[in-house]
Amino acid sequence: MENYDEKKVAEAICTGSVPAFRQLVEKYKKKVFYLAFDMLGKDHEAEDISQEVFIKVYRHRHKIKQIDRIGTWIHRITVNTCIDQLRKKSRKNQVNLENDTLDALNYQTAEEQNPTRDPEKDVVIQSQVSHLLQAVTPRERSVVVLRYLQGFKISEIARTLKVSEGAIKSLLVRARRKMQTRQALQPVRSA
Amino acid sequence: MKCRQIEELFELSLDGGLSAAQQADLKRHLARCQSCAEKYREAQELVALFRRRKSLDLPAEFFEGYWTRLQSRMEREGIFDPENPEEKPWSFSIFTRRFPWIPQAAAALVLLVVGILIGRIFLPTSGKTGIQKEYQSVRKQSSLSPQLAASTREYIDQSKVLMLALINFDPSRDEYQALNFPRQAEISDALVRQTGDLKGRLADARQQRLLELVEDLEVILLQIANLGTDPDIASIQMIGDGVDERGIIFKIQLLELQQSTQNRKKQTI
Repeated sequence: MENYDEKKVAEAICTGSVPAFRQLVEKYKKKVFYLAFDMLGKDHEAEDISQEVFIKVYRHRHKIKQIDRIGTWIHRITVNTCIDQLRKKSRKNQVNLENDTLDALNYQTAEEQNPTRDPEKDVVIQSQVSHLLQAVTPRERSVVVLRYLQGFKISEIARTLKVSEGAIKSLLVRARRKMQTRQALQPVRSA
Repeated sequence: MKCRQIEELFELSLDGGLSAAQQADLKRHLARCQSCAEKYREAQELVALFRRRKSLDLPAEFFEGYWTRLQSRMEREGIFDPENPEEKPWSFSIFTRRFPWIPQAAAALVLLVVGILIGRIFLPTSGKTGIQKEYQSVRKQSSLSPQLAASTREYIDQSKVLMLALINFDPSRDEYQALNFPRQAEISDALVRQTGDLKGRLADARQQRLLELVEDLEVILLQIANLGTDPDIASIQMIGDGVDERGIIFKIQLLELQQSTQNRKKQTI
């Protein structure tokens, strides 16, 4: 984004400037939306939750100036909001990520977007990933998503979730074990 | 190296982040440990599968309309004021929206001061006046027994601790597990069960102000008791907003101030 000065934007948001808040939304909307989508596996839910994230940012705007890394802070709010949502869903037994994910990919129109893509293969891989993610807890899921789907480094995940790097490594080992067990119990279709 | 330690090296190895020595350790261990070699192969496959996943690539139009959708939701939910989009977060109007009782309280205070001034000017200053006598008789009628005062204080103190824990909870900063919800719900429930009796005794003692405060607290305590063991952030924030709107913490602080002044007076006497 052109002329985006995060410090100035933060100062303006602090005073309630809506145009500045819009600049912040424009900068982070894709990252927040895709992270929420990877965490939740539903496009309509990702839209809703990503909006909730920005609403929380706006509600806490008076302290945005004191925040060192606004991007990290927004990622943390996104992960925590998604974890809440996943816990709510697991209470209601509504977790059916595989079908939702397949629906979500209808948005893509991948052939029009990118002719080098094989949409059928993408759908199969997405379905396998969603299937494996169901084996882990919301907290483990957040670490797996940030690490393997969003490409964060371990140090970045530790900073985002405010826990030690050692704790992140343990969560990853635990999550991998659970997902490997699920993969071994129910072999997934080859992509 | 033990198997457990080797498993921790997998993560670094999958990224190519191992030092030459660690790489040699891993290679040596995998060559002689069939179980770890198998786990390592599975981990590699798993990570490769995640990395083959193509990220969702939504059309540009989807994101072009994002701001409009967000803005209309924020207006619908009353977060943005479309009439006054540049409103400052701590402007007087927001302050009064958050604490709506402040203008009334300020007006009452002004009236009280004017009343005292008029009284001082027009009424005799020595000896017990008619008004003073009447005031004392009302005080006698509405006096708070030490037992009732102690149980009310305990009720208010416990409620205050519960409310402050929720109000000070910041989802962007604090670990979700920092609040012990089952314990909070249990204490709130116990307090709610005491409320009926306490309200009756306060009404008998004509303690209108305390009665109103206890009624306000009852609403909040019921909400905390109904939060369950694993509530979502929105429900917690709703309770915090309720406490703010009713000005409960401010009322408790006023009461505490009043009590400490009374205690100081007693000590002086």
